[in-house]
Amino acid sequence: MYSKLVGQTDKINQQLARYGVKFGIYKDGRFDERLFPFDAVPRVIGAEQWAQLERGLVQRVDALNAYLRDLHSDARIIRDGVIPEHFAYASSGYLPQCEHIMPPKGIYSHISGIDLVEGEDGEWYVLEDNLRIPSGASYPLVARGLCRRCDADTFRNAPLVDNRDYGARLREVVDYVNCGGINVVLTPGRYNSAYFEHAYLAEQIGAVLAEAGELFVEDEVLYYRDATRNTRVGAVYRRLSDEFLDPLCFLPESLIGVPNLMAAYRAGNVAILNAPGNGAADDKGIYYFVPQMIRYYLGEEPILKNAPTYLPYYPEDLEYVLANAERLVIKDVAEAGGYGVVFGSELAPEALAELLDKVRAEPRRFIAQEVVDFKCLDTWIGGEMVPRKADLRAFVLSGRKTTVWPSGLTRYAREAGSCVVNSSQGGGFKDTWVLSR
Amino acid sequence: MGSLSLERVGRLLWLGRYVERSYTTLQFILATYDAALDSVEGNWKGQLEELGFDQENDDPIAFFRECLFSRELTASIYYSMSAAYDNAVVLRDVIGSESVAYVQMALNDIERAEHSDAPLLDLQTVIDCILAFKGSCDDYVVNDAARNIIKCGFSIERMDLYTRLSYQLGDLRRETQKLASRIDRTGLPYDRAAFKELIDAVFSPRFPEKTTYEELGVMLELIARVF
Repeated sequence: MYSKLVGQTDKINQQLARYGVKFGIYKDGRFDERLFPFDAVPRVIGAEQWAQLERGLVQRVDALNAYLRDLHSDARIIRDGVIPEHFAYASSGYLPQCEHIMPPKGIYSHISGIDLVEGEDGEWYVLEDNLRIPSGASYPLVARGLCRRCDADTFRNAPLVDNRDYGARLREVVDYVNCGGINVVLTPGRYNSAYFEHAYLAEQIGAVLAEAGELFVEDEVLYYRDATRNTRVGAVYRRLSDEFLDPLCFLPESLIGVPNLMAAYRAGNVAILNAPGNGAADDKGIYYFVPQMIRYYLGEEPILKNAPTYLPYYPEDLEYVLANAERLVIKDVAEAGGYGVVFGSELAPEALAELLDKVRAEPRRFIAQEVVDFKCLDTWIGGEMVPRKADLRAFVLSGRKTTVWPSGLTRYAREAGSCVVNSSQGGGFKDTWVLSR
Repeated sequence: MGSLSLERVGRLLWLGRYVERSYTTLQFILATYDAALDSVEGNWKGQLEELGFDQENDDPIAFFRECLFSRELTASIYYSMSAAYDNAVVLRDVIGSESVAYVQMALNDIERAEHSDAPLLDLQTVIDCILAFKGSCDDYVVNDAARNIIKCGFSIERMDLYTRLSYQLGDLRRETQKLASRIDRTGLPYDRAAFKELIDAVFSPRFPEKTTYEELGVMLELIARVF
């Protein structure tokens, strides 16, 4: 179906370089921008499979949004004993400053990036929920436009769902929660690893790309500091972490935040996408409870499976983890980007024992999972087709209703046998094709 | 003028200036290099020294390579284009990805030319990209003020370099006219008195043939005062 396309891989990568499709990386104290290698062999998802995934993703994100609403107000789920109180509030992503703030239209996670893998058994497993500032939608978006230019036959004849409306979908969500005023994409600046995406999405949704110094709050209203007049801001699609958002509310040393932004947000004068405090729901530990959330809030059985997960917080799980550590993957809940993920089988006995001591001492800090043997995808590397492990980040947008972007970022590992697909660790990306029939 | 903060106004102006600096300096280097082929005796470095290329280098090939590709000399083509890129990349939402792409490609091509065995030939694509960028501003920069600020940046930089180098002084009138037709469309405050004085100097019957070195110095100051 895409044989002609594969032959154009180098040219497509040249075009991606032309558009500056890069990500930044800090190494040895130095900032460097790297091209994100693109593999033209797509991940193809059939219509029926996608429909199932779509239902599961909408269900999951609706439950997560319900959890965030509940956690920041009545916390019924805790009172009813579904999630242990200590567990919910000990999450490093839980921010007491966000308690009792109801975001515009009651939506907390507007853009959710759900990481999945397809197991060798054909079953999809959710590995992680990203409800803070998930990135990566821009890459397949740019790539699709370029691929269409090199393979007319495929794109004319294959029943592919067009994914190029991500900007319009995102714009609709931002407009829906806008409290009156312009839309702004707030970026920490060009040395952020995802800066290309910040600038590109601002362009796509017709928003102003702003850094903190260009915004200010007066009388609980956020303004863009225009050269001729100040303009009211109604929605901020922020691309910086909660703790840096507002130095008067979170980290006082933050130089990339907007003083009093949280006051404007609390007063209901500006929408912040995604809502601050979402880290309380995408913690690797809270992940364990998502199936229970779905049952609790929606009264439904979860459509998508979690990878089998153990919480050392529970004594019986701790016992299991200690007994089976060499075949589990152990994750530090505070880490992200592929860091803090350790395969028990890859550790020397002394190192494993040391890790397990830490697990015993701080059980809330770790989770353990069965290693999901996920499928390899054909990948064109060095002039030959080779199998590589790949995951999928699906993007779920929540505005007037919750929808799934019919595409996603498929990331693959560069090295044979490796399961590490993160761009910061050398991985590349593929387009994700969803078939319409 | 749409939503443009003061910082972005500055970046738009400097984007125009650095793109023009790369373009005019490259043309000037090519002209000086060409002249040096006929005479490597005497002052073959020409006025490049006045641009800051005053490194002690008696090897013409090494000297010109420094002018083109030095990471340290602020007047080098690489340095100017790199500065243009630094401004363009934070203006993607204002000038559009297509326009940013031309600046990106110009920088990529300079880096490639550095490793070429015929860099001056390969730098032609840099000139092509710069000219394409200039054209793309008309098509892709939809914000009127932003487009005019970039173009004023082109003009101010070109006038500055031509005056500084006494190079193509005859073209200064045309450049001044271009600037005059755009400056009020930027919506920015500017030094009207300095600009008026500059127009008078450029359109004086004595200009350029009888203009003295001191008078060119005064013109340079006026150019610097406009914005």
